[in-house]
Amino acid sequence: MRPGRERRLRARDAESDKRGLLVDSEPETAGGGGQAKFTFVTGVIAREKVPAFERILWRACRGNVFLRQADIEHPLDDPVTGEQVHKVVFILFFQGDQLRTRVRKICEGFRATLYQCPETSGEREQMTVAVSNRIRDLKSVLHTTEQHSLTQLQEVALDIDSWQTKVRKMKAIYHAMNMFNLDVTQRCLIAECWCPVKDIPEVQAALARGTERSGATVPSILNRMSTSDQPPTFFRTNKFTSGFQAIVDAYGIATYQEVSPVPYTIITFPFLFAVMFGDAGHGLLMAVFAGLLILFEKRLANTDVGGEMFSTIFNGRYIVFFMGLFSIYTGMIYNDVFSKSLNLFGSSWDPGYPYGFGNEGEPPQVYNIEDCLGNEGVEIGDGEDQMSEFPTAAMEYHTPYPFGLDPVWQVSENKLVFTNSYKMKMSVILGVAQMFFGVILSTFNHVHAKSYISLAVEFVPQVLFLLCIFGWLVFLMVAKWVTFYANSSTAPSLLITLINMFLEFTRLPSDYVVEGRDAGENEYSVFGPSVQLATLQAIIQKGLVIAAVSSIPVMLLVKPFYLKFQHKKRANSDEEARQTHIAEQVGGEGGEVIHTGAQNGKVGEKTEGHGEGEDFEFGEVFIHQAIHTIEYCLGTISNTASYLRLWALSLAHAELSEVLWMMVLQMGVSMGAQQPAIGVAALFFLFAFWAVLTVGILLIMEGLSAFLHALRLHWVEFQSKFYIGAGYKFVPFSLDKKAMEGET
Amino acid sequence: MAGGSTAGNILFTICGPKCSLCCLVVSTWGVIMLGLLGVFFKLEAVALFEDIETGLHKCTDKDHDCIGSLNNVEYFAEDDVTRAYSNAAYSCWGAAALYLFFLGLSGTFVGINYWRSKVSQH
Repeated sequence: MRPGRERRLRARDAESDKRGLLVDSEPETAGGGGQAKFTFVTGVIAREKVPAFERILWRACRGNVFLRQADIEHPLDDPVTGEQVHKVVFILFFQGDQLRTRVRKICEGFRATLYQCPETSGEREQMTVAVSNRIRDLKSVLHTTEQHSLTQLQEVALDIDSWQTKVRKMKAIYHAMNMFNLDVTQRCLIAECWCPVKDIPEVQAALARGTERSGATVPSILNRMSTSDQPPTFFRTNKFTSGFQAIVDAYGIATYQEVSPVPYTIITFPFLFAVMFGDAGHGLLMAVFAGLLILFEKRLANTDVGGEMFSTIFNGRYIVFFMGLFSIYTGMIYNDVFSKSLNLFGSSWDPGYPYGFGNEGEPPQVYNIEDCLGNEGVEIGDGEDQMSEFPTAAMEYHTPYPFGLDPVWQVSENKLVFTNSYKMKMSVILGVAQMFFGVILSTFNHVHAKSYISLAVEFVPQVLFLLCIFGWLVFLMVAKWVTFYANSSTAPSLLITLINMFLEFTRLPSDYVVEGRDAGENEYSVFGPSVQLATLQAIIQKGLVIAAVSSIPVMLLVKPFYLKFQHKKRANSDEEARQTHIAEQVGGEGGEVIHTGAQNGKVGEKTEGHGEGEDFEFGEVFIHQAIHTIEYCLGTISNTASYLRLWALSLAHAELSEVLWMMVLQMGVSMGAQQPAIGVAALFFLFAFWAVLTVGILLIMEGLSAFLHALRLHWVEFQSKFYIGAGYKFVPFSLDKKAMEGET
Repeated sequence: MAGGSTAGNILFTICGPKCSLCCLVVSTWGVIMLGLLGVFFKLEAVALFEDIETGLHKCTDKDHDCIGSLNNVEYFAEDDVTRAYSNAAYSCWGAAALYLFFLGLSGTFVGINYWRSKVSQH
């Protein structure tokens, strides 16, 4: 725009509102003749486009167009993009129609919106009033609409969760129905599905209900079909057993109709946990925590507090509760409550020789060694095996502490010597018991599969192998506990005994009786310090070794050859059956050929898993059996040793508990013993610290550790004796909350 | 919040729902356990002897009525032992009383937090 014109126009700004747009102060002159008539357009354009707009106008119209513009202060909402844009209002003056069309085209090109503007100021004022009225009306309409939509949305918001659930349910139903087959000929949908046999009447009742409610004329039919596919595994669980079922399923879903370890796991798992956890105080805390979870289970099931960790513990609340209860029990047996022992019945410890607890009111007795032995010491045992001499007065019999460990052990220095020995032996006993139980459970599997050959040739040698070696070890442990050795150096080491069972197999019984040997150099048996007993033990052990070792080839060889023999027999009888069948067909109707022999063979083959139908690879079967045998035999030894973790973890727990008490609480107590005032404050803070550490280290860390190891003992050592776990889970269609949340 | 008092707001910021629940649990445990521990100290349980042992000093036969009378054995005066047990019992009970007060405090915190969560739901 040319600067001159701009300046001239600006001078007239003050009065320009009152002017007409095209009224000229000078009258029309006749000389002008054909006075040019100015027309104008007004419009609004985006601010960014103004310079280009001006330039194009100038060039296209050759400077014959006059532009005046003014900024609009408030940004406007662009109806298309919804953003706020700054716009500029302009007015264009020009002459002639051609310029008008040109100008219009340029305005369209720049997407300027053109508006009509009346010439006279009166009309302009009217228009302003009209437009502002319209704006006000539109604003109120907009506002009302917004309010209305807000209320609508708020109402919908209350319902939207249930709508979403409904949609998900419908989706799930249609998704399930998509799996049906369409039977074109009969215009019906066919679904092949698995269903528990017990529930068939219920399913039929449900189908009948559905037919009735939907008013269909054709009823739905349930037809039972036979198939050779492996069915899914389904266990009915309630809220209590579902936790235990979950931890067994985590290892492997049971094969169809295999014996399930879950009912036994309900007891053995918390028990093994408790053997490793073994503190009544911690068990009480755990039981109380789980008890609260159980008490408020209805309320807690609906809330979603705490995230995945909490929901895992919540789902296992019955397991944790049992773990806590059993830990209270083992804590009472180990006599360990937050690392202190309870003296409920009075200790049975009597220092005996040379200190004795005298009678009430008398000073304590002191025995003089010389007085007791003298020249004629009291002798124990037969004349031939003389033990070192002890005064009988010092070996008075007291009834042992009735339940659990005597509380005097806690204040003694040699506590660990005793508890280590005790816990190690107990771990082996528990381990052998659990493994033996596992082997017994395998009989259920064999009987169900009607594989009596397995019963005879796998189960019996397995039991023999386990019991002859480790059952004997358990027996020796109990015998050693029960036998009194006046001279404890004559008590033989059980490990050495077990090893010598094999290594010194060739030792003759006569080696045990050597004339002229000192009492301390003869062989002693676990049952007592006599040579006869030692000989007896040696003979028994030889027999056990022979039994155990001879069970290995039985386990290894008999079954593959028997299966091979069976297969041959069946192949021959198949031939015969086929021939008779053909003969019957030729012979005419009325004859029924019974193929029982072939069928029996088939059943036996199928359930054993190898040699189905006509395939029977002897090599494969033999290798399978060899692996099974080696795994079992080596596993017996390693698994028994593996159960020693019961000892290790309980030792660790007891030590941690004791250290925590000594390092934390004892400081407060000893301060309190001297100065109660300081002790109160010290105990207040130290107890909180001790409580937090107990929960964090002993309950959570040790609890998780014991849980894991107890679980491992179940999965590996126990279940490997009988459990295959090759099934798949029965997952029925369900509209409940958890199944719905899985769908998106 | 229009309904809540400023005191409630201040207390809420000191201790949220989880903190106050934790404090409640610890103080309940403290009251019960320290109370029982005090009782066992008063009963002079042998199992707790090594806790007060560090607070005692050994005696010789001449000064006091000592327990035990053989050489090379540590022994402590009987009234020393009794006094130490009693002191320990009193400090345990004192700490239990403090925890009882703390229990009341955390109980009110839990109540306030519960009330706040109830109100904010509406």
